[in-house]
Amino acid sequence: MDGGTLAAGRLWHRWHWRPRGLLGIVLVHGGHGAFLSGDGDSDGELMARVAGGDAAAFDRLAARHMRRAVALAQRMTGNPSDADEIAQEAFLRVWQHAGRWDAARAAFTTWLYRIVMNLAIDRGRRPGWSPLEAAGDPVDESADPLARIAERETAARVNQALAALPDRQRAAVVLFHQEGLSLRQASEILAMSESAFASLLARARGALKTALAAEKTA
Amino acid sequence: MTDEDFLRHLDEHGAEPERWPPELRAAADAVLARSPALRAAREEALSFDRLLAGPPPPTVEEARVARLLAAVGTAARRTPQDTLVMLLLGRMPRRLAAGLGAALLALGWLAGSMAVPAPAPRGQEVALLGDEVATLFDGESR
Repeated sequence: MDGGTLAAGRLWHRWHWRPRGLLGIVLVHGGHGAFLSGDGDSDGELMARVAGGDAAAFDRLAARHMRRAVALAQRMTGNPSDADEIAQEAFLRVWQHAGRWDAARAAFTTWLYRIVMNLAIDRGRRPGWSPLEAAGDPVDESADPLARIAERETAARVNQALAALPDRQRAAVVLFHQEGLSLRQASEILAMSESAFASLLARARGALKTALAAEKTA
Repeated sequence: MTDEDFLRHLDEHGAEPERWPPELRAAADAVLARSPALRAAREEALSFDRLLAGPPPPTVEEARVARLLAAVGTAARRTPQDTLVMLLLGRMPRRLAAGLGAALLALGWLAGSMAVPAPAPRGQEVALLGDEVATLFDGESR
């Protein structure tokens, strides 16, 4: 019996007859021709089960990625309560639309972060957005007080300049410079080509340089 | 790679050539090795990048994560998932899905119009009856 048959047998045992679940497997793995194997808890396998309505698999997937999703949303909105709402909404969309995720087109985390970024960008347009809170507590407490004050001020100025950027430019800086994602990952999350992302990033960096230089001379 | 190219890539990809597209890295290292001015530009870009990197990621406490997980787990169990139709349409590009919908509507209209003959206007029915009567009762005795 080959690996695929064994995997299929395990699936049958685990799921019994769940047509929507089988549909989920076809949709998730069809593009690769791959099938479930290994330790049985990769993001792909959990997503296939989520697509079949398996709430326990959804709980595991959410537990695995919630912290990073919240942190990313908080970077974008600068507001913990907005970040919480965005992360919850993002996972709820993962649950609702799990069958739409296509492993051949994007890693699960790319898809999740795309949802988070889109929700955060929508939220950012609301009045009451408070980017300065994103400055957080960035400095080394062991440094001397004057240096700490200077660093806080610099962080606040950077956050203010970042907040004034257009949404997608801000998203590019957050993903590439703050989250440390590669060009490819960041461009996939924003659903654009690498070269388009590079131009977007260059425009963002240019605008930030100008804004920070203007503040310095003011 | 010219000096201008290097400076442009510095703007586009940041100060760390190891994060640049792979095909640019070797040429970037070569121009950096020969030009002190470019090395200085890179140092300046590095300190700018450090500014942009901002504070460390916000701390997300365990209790907060647990609260969010409980909330989202409960919400998911109350929320229905996409139906089969939504799944199939959702994977299509929007224009294609819209085109398919329009084509199905047109097909339905066409099939409907072919299956049921259109009723003739009332006036035409009367005229046909009149013709028939005239043919049967034309004044001749049979």
